[in-house]
Amino acid sequence: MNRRTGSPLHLSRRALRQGLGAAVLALVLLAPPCALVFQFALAFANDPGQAREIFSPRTARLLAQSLGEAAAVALTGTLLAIPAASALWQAPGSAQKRLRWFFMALAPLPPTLHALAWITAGSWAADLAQAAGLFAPSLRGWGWLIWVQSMALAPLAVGLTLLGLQRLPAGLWEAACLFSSPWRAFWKVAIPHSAPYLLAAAGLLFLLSLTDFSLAATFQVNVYAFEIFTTFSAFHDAGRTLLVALPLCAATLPAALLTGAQLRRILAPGPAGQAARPRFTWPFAWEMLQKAAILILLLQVGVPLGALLLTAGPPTAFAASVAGAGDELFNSTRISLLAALAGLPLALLAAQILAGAGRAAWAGWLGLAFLLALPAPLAGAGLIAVWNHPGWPVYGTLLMPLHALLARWTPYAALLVLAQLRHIDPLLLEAEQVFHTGWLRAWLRVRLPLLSPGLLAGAFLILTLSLGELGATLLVLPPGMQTLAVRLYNYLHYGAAQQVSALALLTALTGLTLGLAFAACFHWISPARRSAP
Amino acid sequence: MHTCRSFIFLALALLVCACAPSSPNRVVIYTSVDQVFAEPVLKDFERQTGIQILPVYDVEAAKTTGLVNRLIAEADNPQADVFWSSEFAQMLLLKEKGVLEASKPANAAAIPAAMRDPQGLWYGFAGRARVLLVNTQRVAQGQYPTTYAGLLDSRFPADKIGIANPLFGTTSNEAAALYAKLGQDSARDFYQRLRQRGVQVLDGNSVVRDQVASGQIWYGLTDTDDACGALDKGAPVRLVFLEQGAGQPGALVIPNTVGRVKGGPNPQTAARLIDYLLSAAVEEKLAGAGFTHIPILSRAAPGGCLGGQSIRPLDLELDIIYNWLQPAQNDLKTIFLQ
Repeated sequence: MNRRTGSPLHLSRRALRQGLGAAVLALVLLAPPCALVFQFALAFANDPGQAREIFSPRTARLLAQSLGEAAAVALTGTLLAIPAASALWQAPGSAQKRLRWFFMALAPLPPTLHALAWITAGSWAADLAQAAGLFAPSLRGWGWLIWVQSMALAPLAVGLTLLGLQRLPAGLWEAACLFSSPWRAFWKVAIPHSAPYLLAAAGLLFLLSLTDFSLAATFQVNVYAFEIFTTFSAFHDAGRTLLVALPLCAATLPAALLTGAQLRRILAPGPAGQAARPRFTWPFAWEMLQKAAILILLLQVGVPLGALLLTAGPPTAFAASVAGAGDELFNSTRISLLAALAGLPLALLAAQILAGAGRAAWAGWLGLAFLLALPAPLAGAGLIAVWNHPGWPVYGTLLMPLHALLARWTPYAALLVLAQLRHIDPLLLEAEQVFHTGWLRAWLRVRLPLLSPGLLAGAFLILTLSLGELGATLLVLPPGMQTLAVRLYNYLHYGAAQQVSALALLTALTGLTLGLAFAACFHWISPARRSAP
Repeated sequence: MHTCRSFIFLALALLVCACAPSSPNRVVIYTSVDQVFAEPVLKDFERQTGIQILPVYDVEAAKTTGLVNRLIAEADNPQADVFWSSEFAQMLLLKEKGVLEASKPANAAAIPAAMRDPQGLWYGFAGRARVLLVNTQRVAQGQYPTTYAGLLDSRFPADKIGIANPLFGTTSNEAAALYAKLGQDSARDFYQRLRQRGVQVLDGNSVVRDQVASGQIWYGLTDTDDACGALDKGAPVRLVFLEQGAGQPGALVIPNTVGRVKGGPNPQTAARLIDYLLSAAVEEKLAGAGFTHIPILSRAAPGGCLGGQSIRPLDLELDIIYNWLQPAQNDLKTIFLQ
């Protein structure tokens, strides 16, 4: 231990800072669900018999179906991500970057719009099939739900897997290739090295699918998240709804813990150095799979984009729709950006707690699982319970939707930052502790560049998810303020396909622009750029 | 833990940028009416009175329950002055939860007693009705059900009939009305048989409308605003009001409702807004926009795409229908959420 980190005074200050950080984190992330737990305790104390009414063979079956569906989406996404990411990994740098952003283009769209686009495209295909006298399958059921959900979340799975492959050290790859073929090295070294990213992707897909209810009704199937929503809708009782949500929370806990355990086990600190840039020929069968995966990824963007462009009308109509949504565009951009920025320190604090050991880490993982399973309307109701008191200044301001976005998406970002945190060589951080001459300088020169890939991924995730968020923000938007998502859903109900398409394209364009801006900022501060001649 | 310090700076910056400007001459309205219909009406009020309107709109995706839950959660520290609902059940729920307070609009006497609360907590205006939308390219003239029981008739293929999820919105109002009219056992039996037949349960009335208009299904229960929207866009559809024959109970008419939120921050401007909403001019404006077609204040004949038709409304008090909502939802949850 050195002079700066070893003194009792320093240790107590450090404990104080850690306590302060944990308190801020608890206020932002845990206060809303804690308020709900309090309401739940009151409701349960008044009527303990309601648990028997709520838990039944029917709800158990719903939960089992939902778990199966979420697992199928996670599996589909992972199976798609491995060949697609391996193909992108070998693509030339510039092509890889362009393709990466192309595949991410529609990530900000809510799953409902993906469903709408696929149903539109499916109807056109069915009409063609019927005209040709062929069988036209019905656009409903579990298969379609799993497909569309997987397509909506595919960019996340492919992006994370690619990130894992890109972080493979060149030395490790070259050493593996000395003793075996590149094909074997890919499976024996590259994929295990990327396993945390793959697992994180599968875990995120599982959790996002499990808690989403917006698509199930579209394809005429029922999932447990919808049961939670209908309970809230029918009884208007947040406590009772939380009781219904508990089995889903319990189901997400093993998923979150398993993902975390894998991250801890596999993501040992690695040596810093140049990343591998492999050039070799894949086996024919794998190359075919890669092409099929890339084709599916192209469809993942092409089908919704094509359906939206075809229904968006002429450029003048698009311009009119965009001009009419100026305020909403400004609001959505503003709160999504603020959420992405404010979410980063929170995600980092949460990741630091999760990365630790002992009771704090376990409590962190429990809290994380609870937050991941919390349905959006309940998060909104919890926020109202926390902040809406006479004389409190926060309620009715921009901070409310911001808090809603942070409460909903920071846990996901924390998982990504945790992955990055585990990858940093602790010797570098210790060196920074010894030699730094100021926290800002140390932050900008050492920690931020080391953390930047994880922070970038986390910020992009918060940003894209925030642009399409509806369930929680709807409950806490200040009067007179509206977001693109609210306007889009209003037009969706009205049946204004042209405006819906225009607003969806605008949302995608906004997400892409903001994502590119983020990437440029992080590139600007990255060590690679500074070390370049 | 340098993150702590950076976080504190960030939090302070956010607090500064989040400060909201306030105006004394304003009114906050929460509305579950589609923004495309509500916004022009509210803008007109703003232009006429100079009172700033701060609206919060609900969306179909939240099944019009988002704002009601928000109003209930905000009951101890209300933010809204007025709630304008596109139907009546949510307003009656707010009454039951003690979220509303009485008001005396200038035009109250013009509203039929069945369409207003006896204590003045809410008032109805500008009605819509439940209707069977039929695709005229797929279905020959007269070959459609004219009663709810007809939906169970094997002559009409079940997979070509669509309803919105009866747990939400106006479809849940319709279910409660059927429970009130038929009795619990008969109504439960009707929905069980409907489900067993394989009738399609779709994600909202607008989806029913779109699928009938495109011919994916042939018959669909929806609201007149959705149905007229399809007709106005030239879709090959016909509107059929159910239960209109002699001795039959009539079609459910769903009024818009407006009520003052208890303890709202701007009571004076709220009263002016309620007066404005409960005016024949607003009813006409909503009818002109294609949202409502059954005037309640003027008691005139249905307009818009229903022009010339006579509709016999269901002879049931809204309170009675509302009281059946919870028992109906308990049954329907078991029937439809398997």
